[in-house]
Amino acid sequence: MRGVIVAGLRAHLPRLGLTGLVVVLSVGFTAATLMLTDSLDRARIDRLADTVAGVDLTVLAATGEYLDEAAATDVAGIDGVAAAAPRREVGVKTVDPDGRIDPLSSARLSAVPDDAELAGLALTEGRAPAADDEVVLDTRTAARAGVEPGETFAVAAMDSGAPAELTVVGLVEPPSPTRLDPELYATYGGVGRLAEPAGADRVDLRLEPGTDTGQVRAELAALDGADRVLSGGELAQLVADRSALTGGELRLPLLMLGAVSLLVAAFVIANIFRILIAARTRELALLRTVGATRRQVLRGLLAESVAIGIAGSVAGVGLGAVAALVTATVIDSGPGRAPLVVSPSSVVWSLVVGVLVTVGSAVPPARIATRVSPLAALHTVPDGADSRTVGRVRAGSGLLAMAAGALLLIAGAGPVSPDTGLVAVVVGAAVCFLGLLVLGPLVVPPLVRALGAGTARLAGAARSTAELATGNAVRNPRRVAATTAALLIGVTTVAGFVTVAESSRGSVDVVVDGQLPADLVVHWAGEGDVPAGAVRAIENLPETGAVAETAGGGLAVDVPDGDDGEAARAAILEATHDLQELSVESLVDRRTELNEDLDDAVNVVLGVLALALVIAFIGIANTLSLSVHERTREIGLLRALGLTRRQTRILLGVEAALMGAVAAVLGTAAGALFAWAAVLSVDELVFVVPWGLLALSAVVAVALGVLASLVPGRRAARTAPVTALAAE
Amino acid sequence: MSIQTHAYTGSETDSGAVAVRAVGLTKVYGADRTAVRALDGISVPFAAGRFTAIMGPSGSGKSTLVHCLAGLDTATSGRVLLGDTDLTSLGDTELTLLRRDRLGFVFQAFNLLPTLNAEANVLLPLRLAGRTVDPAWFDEVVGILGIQDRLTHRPSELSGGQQQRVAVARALINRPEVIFADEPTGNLDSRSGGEVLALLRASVRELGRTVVMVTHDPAAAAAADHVVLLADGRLAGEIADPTVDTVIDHLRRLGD
Repeated sequence: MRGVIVAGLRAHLPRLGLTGLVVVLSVGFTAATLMLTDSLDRARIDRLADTVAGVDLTVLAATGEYLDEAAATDVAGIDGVAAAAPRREVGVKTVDPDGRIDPLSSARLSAVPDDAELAGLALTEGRAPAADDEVVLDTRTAARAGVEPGETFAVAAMDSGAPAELTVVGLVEPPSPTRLDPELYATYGGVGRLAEPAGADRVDLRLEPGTDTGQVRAELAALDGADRVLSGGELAQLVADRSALTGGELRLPLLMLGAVSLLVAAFVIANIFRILIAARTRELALLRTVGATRRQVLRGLLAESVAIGIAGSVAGVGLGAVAALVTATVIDSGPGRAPLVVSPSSVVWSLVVGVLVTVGSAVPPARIATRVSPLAALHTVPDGADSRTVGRVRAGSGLLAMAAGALLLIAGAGPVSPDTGLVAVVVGAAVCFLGLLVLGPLVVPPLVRALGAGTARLAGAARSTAELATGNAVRNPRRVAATTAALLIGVTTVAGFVTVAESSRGSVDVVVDGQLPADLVVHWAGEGDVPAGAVRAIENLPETGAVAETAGGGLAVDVPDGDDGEAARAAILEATHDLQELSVESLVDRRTELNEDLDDAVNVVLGVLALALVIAFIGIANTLSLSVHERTREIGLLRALGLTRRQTRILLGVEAALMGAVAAVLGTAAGALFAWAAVLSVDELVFVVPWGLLALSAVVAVALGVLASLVPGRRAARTAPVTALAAE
Repeated sequence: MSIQTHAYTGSETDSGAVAVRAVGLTKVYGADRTAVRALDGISVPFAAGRFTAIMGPSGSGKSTLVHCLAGLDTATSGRVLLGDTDLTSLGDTELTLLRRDRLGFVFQAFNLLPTLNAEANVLLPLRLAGRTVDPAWFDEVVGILGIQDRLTHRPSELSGGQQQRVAVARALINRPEVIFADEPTGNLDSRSGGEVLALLRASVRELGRTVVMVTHDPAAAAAADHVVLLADGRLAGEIADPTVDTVIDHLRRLGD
C-alpha cells in the first residue's frame, strides 16, 4: 500500500501542493502568533530585567507600607554595600497643553537612583534626572505632548494637589509597544513631592565585589519595616510578573483570528480532498477490484493527508518564524530586543493543530471514497456530477442549529446582563453560522441560480455564457457550498467586525450628540464637584450656551451653532485661570482621537482577516481549476460549437463571480446580523450599518472570485476543441 | 499497401459545387523519430448538398481529416477551403466564429451539455452568437427530429437515441454549410442508429444541407450518397451510391 500512496502523492502533487499551501498559511499564522507573543514577552522581560541588572539585593516594604529614607542611609552603612538607593513608584496625572490636569490620564512616575548602575535607565537622548524638578519621558509620551528635552512637562498627584512643573532632561524608549500609558522617571526627591504617604517601596543595593551576600541579607532582614529581601534575579522576576505582558494582550485576539483562518483552511482542504477523490474514483475502484480492502483505501488516503499535514505544518512553522521575526522588528523597535523566541510548545502546538486540521478535513471525503464499489472502475462517472441528494439529517440538523443560534442571539441582544448578553450573542452567532454552513448545499445553489438569472438578464449578448456559468456553478451542490463556505466565513467575519467597529465609532457620536448635546466638556480633577462659582462663571460667559452637569461630575457646555467652540474654550480657561484641576475638552478632538485609535485597530484586524480571504481565494481557484480539469471534454465541445477563448474565460469568471457574490450576500447579511445582536447586547452602543464598508467587502469577495478564475480560465481557454471528440 | 481498384484522382466529383475541400493536407503528430504522419498530402473535395461518408481502417487518418476540415485541429501543411474561406489562414477566434456560424457537429458521445435542457442545447450555437432563433425554423427542425416532447428534459433524462436527435437538431439550427458527424451511431443500438442516419439523410434531402460523416460501420456508410476511403493518411478509393455489400467489399480489399 505504501507504494500506492507514494505514487498517488506524486501523481497529484500540484493539487496536493495547493492543499499544502493552505496548511502552510494557516499554520504559519498560528505559529507566528505564538512566536511573536513569546518574543515580545521575552523582549519586555529582558528590558525589565535590564532596569534592575545592576541590583545585587533589594529590600521590599510590605504592600501598602513604605520604608523611610533613613532606611536607605542605614543600608548604605552596612559592610560591603557599595551603593544603596530608595525606589518609589507613584501614579500621576499629566497636565494638558492648557495647563490643566487631565483627569483621564494615568502615568507612572518612578524614582531612579543617582547611582548609574542601579538606575538601569536606557536613555535614547539626554541624561538621567539629577535635580528634583527634572524628569525623563518615554519617547511616545514626549511625541504626543510635543515636548523635547529642555522643555517643561507638568504632572499632578493622583488624588489632588497642584501640578508640578518638571524639566525634561532625557528620553527613553517606551516600555512596551502596546502599553500607551506614559512612563516618567524622576529623582527620589522629585517623586517624593508627589508621593503620599512619603517613603520608599524598596531599597536597591549594589555590593562591593567579593562581599558575603548571606551576611548582608541577614542584616537587611533585621531592618525596620523590611518585609522581604530579594536577589537581583528574584527582583527581575517580580518586576516581570507584576507588569502586564505585551504578548498576553495580543495572544488571545490573534489566536482567535487565527482560528478563523484555520476554519477557512479546513473547508478548503476538505473540498480539495473531496474533488481529488472524486477525480480518482476509478483509480480507487481499481484498487478495490484488485483486492484492496476498504480499510486499506481509507488508510492510504489518510496517510496522504498526514504526509501533507506534516509537510505543510513544518513549512508553516518556518514561515511563521520568519513572519514573527519581521513583525516583532516592526512593532517593537526598543533597545535590547531579544532574538526570536521559538519555544518547543509553540512548535508542537502549531504542528499538532496543522496536522489535525488537515487530517480531520480529509476524513469525511476519505470515508465516502471507501464506499466506492469495485464496479465503479468499469463505469464512466458523469463529469463532476454528484447524484447524492442532500439528506434530511443534514437539513434537520442545520435548521435546528440555526434556530438554536437565533434564539441565543435574540436572548443575548435582549435585556440580559451585559456580560452574559455578549457571551450569548457570540455563542449564538457561532451556532447559527454552523447551521448555515451545514445548510450550505441547500441554500447556496438556489441563491447562485437566482443571482445567475439576474446576471443573465443583464448580460445581453453574453446571456448564454451567464446561463452556462450558472448551470456549471450549481451542478454539484456540495462542492459549490463548500467552495462558497470558505469565502463566506471570511466575509462574515469581516462584515461583522466592521459593523461592530463602525457602531462603536458611531456610538461616540450618537451618545455625545444625542444624549449630551454638548460641544465642550469640562472635567474636574479635584475633589467633589466643579466649584459652584466656576459653574456660574462659565454659564455667564457670552460665548457659552446651555451648561449641564454630566454623570462624571463634569459639565457639558453647548456653544452656538456654527461655532467651533474654540472661543468658548478659551473663555472658559480664562474665566477659571486659577483652577488647574479644571480642564476643557473639545468633543471634536475626542472624536478624532477615538476614531484614530479605532482605525488602527480596524486596520490590524482586517489585515489579519485578509489571510483568511487569501486562503478562501486559493480554495476557489483550486475548485475551478479542478472543475476545468474534469470538464475538459465539455469545454472542448463548447469550443467546437463556437465558444471563443474570450467567452471561455468569461464563463469561468462568471462562475467564480457568482460563488463570490453568494458568499458576499450571505456573509454580509450574517455578519451584519451578528454584529447587530452584539451591539444590542452592549448598553452603551448604538447600531450603525456601515453601508460603504459592507459594500466594499462584498465587492472584494466578488473580485476575489473573478481573480481566482483567471488562471483556470486561461487553461480552459486553451482547451483544443478537438478534445471534445477525443476517446475516453 | 493495397492495390487500388478505383483510382481516385480527387477531381472526378459529382457535378455541382464543392462545400469543403482538402488540398494537399498533411498532419504530423509528434516530432523526429516518433513522428506519426496521420495525413499525407491528401486532396479531396466534398460536394455540396450530398451525404458523404469517410471510411478506413483504424489509424487511416479519417478522424484527423474531419477534425482538420471542421477547423477543430490545425494541419501541418496544406489547405482547407470552406467555400472560399481558407481555414488554415484563420486565427483561433475567427475559426471559432466560423465553426459557430457556418458548421454543425454531431459527435459519438458526450454530445450535450449536462446542465442545459434539450431546447437550450439545440439553441446553444445561436445563443453563443447572441442571436435569436427564427421560431418557424426551430419548429421545423424540432418537428423533423421528433423531439417536441423532450425539449424541457435534461440530457440525463433522455435515451441515447433521443440525445443524438437533440445533437442533430443543434447541428442544423444555424443552417450550417457543412455538418460534420464523427461516428454518430457509434454509441447507439442499431434501431436508434438507423433513425439518426435517416435524419442525417433527411437533412441533406429535405433541408439541402451537406453532411460529412466518419464511420467504421458499413451499414452507416451505406446510408450515404458517396463513400471516400482512406488508408495511411492518403486517399484509397471512393464508392458512389454505396451499399453495405460494396462497402464491405472495398474495405476487405483495403485490408489485403
